[in-house]
Amino acid sequence: MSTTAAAPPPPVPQAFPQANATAQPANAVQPQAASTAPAPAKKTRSTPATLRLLLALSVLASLAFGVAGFQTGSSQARATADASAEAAQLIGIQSVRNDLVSADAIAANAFLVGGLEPADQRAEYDAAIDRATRSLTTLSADDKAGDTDFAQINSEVAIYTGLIEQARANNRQGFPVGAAYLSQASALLNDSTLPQLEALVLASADRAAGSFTATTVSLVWLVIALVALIALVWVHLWITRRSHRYLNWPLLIAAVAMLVVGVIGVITFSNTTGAAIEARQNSYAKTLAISQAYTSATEAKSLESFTLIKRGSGQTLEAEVQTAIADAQARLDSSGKNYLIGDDLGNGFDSWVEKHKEIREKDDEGNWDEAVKLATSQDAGSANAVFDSFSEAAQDDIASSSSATQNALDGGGALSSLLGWVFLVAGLAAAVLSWRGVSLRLKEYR
Amino acid sequence: MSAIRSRTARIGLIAALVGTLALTACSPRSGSDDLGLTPTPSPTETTPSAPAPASTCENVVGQVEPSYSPISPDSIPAGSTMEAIKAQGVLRVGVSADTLLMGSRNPLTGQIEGFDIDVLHEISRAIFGDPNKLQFKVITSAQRLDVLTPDAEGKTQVDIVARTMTINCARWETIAFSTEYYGAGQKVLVASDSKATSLRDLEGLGDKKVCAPASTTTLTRLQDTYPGVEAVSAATHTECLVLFQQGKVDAITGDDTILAGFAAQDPYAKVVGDAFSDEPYGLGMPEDKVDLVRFVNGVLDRMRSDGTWTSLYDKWLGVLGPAPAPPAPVYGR
Repeated sequence: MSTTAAAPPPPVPQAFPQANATAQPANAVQPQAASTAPAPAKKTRSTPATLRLLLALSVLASLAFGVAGFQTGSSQARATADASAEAAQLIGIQSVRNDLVSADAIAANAFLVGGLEPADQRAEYDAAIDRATRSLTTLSADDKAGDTDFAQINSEVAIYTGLIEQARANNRQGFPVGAAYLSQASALLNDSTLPQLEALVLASADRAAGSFTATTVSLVWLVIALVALIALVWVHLWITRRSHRYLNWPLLIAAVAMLVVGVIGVITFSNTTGAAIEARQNSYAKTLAISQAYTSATEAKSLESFTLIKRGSGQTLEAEVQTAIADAQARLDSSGKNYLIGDDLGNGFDSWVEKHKEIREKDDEGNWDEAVKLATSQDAGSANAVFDSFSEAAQDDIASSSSATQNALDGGGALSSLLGWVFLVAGLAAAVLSWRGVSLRLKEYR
Repeated sequence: MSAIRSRTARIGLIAALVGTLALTACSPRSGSDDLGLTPTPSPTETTPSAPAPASTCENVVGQVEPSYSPISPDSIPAGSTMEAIKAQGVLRVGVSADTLLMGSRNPLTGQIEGFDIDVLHEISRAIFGDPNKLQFKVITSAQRLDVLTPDAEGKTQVDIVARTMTINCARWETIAFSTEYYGAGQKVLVASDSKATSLRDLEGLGDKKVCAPASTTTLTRLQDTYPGVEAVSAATHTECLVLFQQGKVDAITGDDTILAGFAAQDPYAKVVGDAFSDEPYGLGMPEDKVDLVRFVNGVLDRMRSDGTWTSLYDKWLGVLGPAPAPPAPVYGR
């Protein structure tokens, strides 16, 4: 700012100020060709009046520049924040779904063992239900869409756990009606609760997709900023031509500042957009792929218990198990995708699929007791242990790639938001400078 | 004019930057694209809900459809179905795992046990000399005929069904039955404080819901004979008990054996009235395995005469009272 005070050279009257208002055609003849002479009637506005207009124009243009940049930066920051939050919400809903499915699998698995439920299995079931109900509370608090579905899901989970407790109580007394309570609970979960959660996942993915798209900068605002910059340059050129002085320092500094901020801004905004697109195709896509693969895997694991409970009538369910397994395997295979899923995860799942095959073979050859023994064993190397280690690895990968998504989005969003403020400050400063630059010229007419 | 040149340069630069922004704005994708969801047709239910066979024949009240005459259970003729079963190493049987007293899984031992199951153990003993060569397939009431119907290769899913199945002429059209091994009767289970003693009483009380399993003779009779009550169907008898305990139905109708098992599980339920139908239970076998039917009839005859039947009755169904005389076999097919 100190330079602006020093910058303007002492004004030299460009022409004959007094005469300018009235003797315009005469003055114009001197520097220019005679051709301007026939059009005196057009010059109805005096130079000071024009300068006053230009003063207003340049101040407004500077302010428009600042506001447009600020709007761009803050809307992009908002969009990235929304995308980040929605991505977290989506993963949260999917993990509730996974918790409920695995709780159901554990409950069913415990029924295979007999009336006396193993204590550690019961603890696992309790932990899964605990996680699901806790997340449901936070998810419904964070819910942007204000869906009432969460309330419905919450109440169904309460009914579900009630049915499971009744199933347990009956089972413990040796009453076969316990198994019927279990299947009613499962039916509630599978026919009503899970479809609702899936709908919420889809709605959340749609909102995330909308936010991702919104991180693309609206060109309207950048065009406004560009027009403002051009306007300022044009004012400078007009004054230069009129005053026969090439440089009007305040105006020039304002224009350069706007140009620099504008270029940095455009680069930053396009970087943020690029980061969001990159995250969407890379870490976000990876998170979704693993999360859905994990959902399918949990589903397959859960259905396995039900194929055994059916005892020989599990073939129709086994077809569903195979569908779920194929889905999980396809999603875990990242070849040809923009992201890379480690082979370990796929291999971990495949080794459970092997264990599952052994269990089904035992059951299919009529050795139900042996199949149940394999399916319920908690020893190292058992189907349960193998699935647990896959599940841990999958959850770790989901957590890390989901935090990578959030970091990419949040980092870009913060920069965009900062640049928005820089635009605003630059616009205000440019307004002050251009006011000063034009008024220097205006003073010369007083 | 450097100002103009720099202006065009600036415009060019900004235009280029704006251009890159516009380029990076790729085609919008939806949430289901992100999720990698492919629009799949909603999964169709594949439950084999065989409708209760349209009865083209008339059951004669008080008479049981005759079965094939017995052969000796002491030896297995060469080339017979029994020999094939012996060769496959196990007798594949379709049973219930949730009908207390007749065929249910004991949660404490994990074993399936009951009157039906013990009859099957006797058949296993006759074929293999070992009562435990049974391979269980747990089926619902609705699956009983399906598992005995040959597939394209002429194979059935099980060799024998022992699942509280009533012998009737409509079923005889698709499968074969042994002689009657137990004479059940249809009764009603109501809440212990109910005054109703029959389905007629329930009809009189109005707006009563009565549960029976899908694809059973019970459900058909309930709908045909008692239009005043609302028939509610469930997959199994035990699911009827769940609905009863939840207050969603007011009564369950079914065979006295099954209802006796329910009353044993629920102290607030009671079985009332006299049996209002005869439900002669038979073992179901594939229609074309006549030699197996004859062999099984031989085993059943021996059980009737040597006291095995009575001791099994006492073991499982003693709650219904002292053992009656075993049902007399009816032959003549």
